[in-house]
Amino acid sequence: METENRKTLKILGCLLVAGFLQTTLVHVAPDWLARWLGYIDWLMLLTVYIALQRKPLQGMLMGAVAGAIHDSLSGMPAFGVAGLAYVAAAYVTYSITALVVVDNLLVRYVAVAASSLLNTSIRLVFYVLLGLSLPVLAGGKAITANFIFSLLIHLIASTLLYILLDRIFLKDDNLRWRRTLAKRKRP
Amino acid sequence: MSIADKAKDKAKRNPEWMLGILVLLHLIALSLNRVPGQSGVRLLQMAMMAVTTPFQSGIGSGADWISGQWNGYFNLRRVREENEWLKSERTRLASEQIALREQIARYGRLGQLVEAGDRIGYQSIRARVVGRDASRLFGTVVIDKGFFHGISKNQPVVDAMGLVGRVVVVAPYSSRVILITDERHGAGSVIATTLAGRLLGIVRGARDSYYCQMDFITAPVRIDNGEPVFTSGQDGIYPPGLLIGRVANPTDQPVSTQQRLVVAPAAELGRLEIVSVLQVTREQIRGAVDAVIAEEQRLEKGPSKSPVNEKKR
Repeated sequence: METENRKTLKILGCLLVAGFLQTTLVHVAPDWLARWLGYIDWLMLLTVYIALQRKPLQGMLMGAVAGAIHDSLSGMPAFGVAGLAYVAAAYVTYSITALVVVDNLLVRYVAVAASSLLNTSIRLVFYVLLGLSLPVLAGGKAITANFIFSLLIHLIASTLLYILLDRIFLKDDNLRWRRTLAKRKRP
Repeated sequence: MSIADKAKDKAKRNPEWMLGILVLLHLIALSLNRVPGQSGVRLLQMAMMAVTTPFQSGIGSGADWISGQWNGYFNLRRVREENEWLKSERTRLASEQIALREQIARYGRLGQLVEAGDRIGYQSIRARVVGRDASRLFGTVVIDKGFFHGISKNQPVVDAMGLVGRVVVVAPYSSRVILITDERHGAGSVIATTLAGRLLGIVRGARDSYYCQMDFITAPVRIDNGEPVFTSGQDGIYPPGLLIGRVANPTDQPVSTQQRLVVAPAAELGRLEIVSVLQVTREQIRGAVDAVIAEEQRLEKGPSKSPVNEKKR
């Protein structure tokens, strides 16, 4: 079992990489791919992953830090919207994992889907409240498209990202037990 | 058990408390940004920018270095070095080129109208683009120069090809620049080469982030694709005569009664590396605009008296 300090360092490293991906990937990818990659919120996916470890405090605090990183790297005219969205996503993920004992792909998908929808909703609500005129707020069609594309892209990206993160973060005993429970054959 | 341990234990048992505290803190942070009359003050964002930019710059430089090594190995190294030098040279000449463009255009109607071009020769600060926007919804970039280098809010930013945008947030060693394609950006603009004379308008970022749109104050008569669009200087932020882009309507037909045009930015906004921040004051902009208006009035009274026509005689 890895120590807390080591895990914190790993989380910080992952946060930096996620911030880098968030700002760089879209600009180096070809146009056809960049349009889709633009929907991926790497920082949110990382926050959800940490919250899936059933450590609500760590998840929410990481959400706040990730939000601060996101807003400082973005030209969004109000600081704090991303943090609020990530903290809420972390809490929702924790609530889902508190209800379901096992840890499997389906639970992860449900958590990512719920977090993605909540993240998009909070952001859009605040954009409206702040009086921003953005393409995503152009009408019902644009808003729906944004919700659906974000959801689908996050589900796909999370599948690949979480396989990688599972290798980086060693599982603690509780998580191993839940995994075993999920894989156990029923009589 | 210490107080910190007790608090931690309590928070672990009741994560809702932590949720409430964090939500409250974020709402306070949001409110701080929206203080009436001080909407431009973004202290938290500035502080975070000051902290993150060195990392961003370091990571960006690292990525550039790796990319450079990769390219240098597989491509012709000499060609690449020459290309780097040319890019650097191109940026150094950015502001000078703007002035030269004005002088070249003086032989036509455009030049007669923007006689203030003589006075364009602003000091500029060269900066490197070290970061892009983390959100796909906003068009901003981060440059590696801040108020310790003499950058201040609302200063125009150009690259060798044309207008890039303006500075919106200034941190000690970095600044955030809003691009002309961002929907929140607007600039007074003019198309000066039409038969109908000067057409004033406003160039804004379009919904499609690759283009801008120009809304006219005066109805256009005939505008062909490729017509250059310049800043008019009437917004008090950009000096007159900076090239914004060229008319690029989807159809090849000349525009007649249309009130909105598509403008393709002249600057390479997708591949920004080095930019120049123009050190221009409001007084200089006002002076240049006054000179343009004076020239316009002089032309209206009698074009034969213009110095260019007199020279031709």
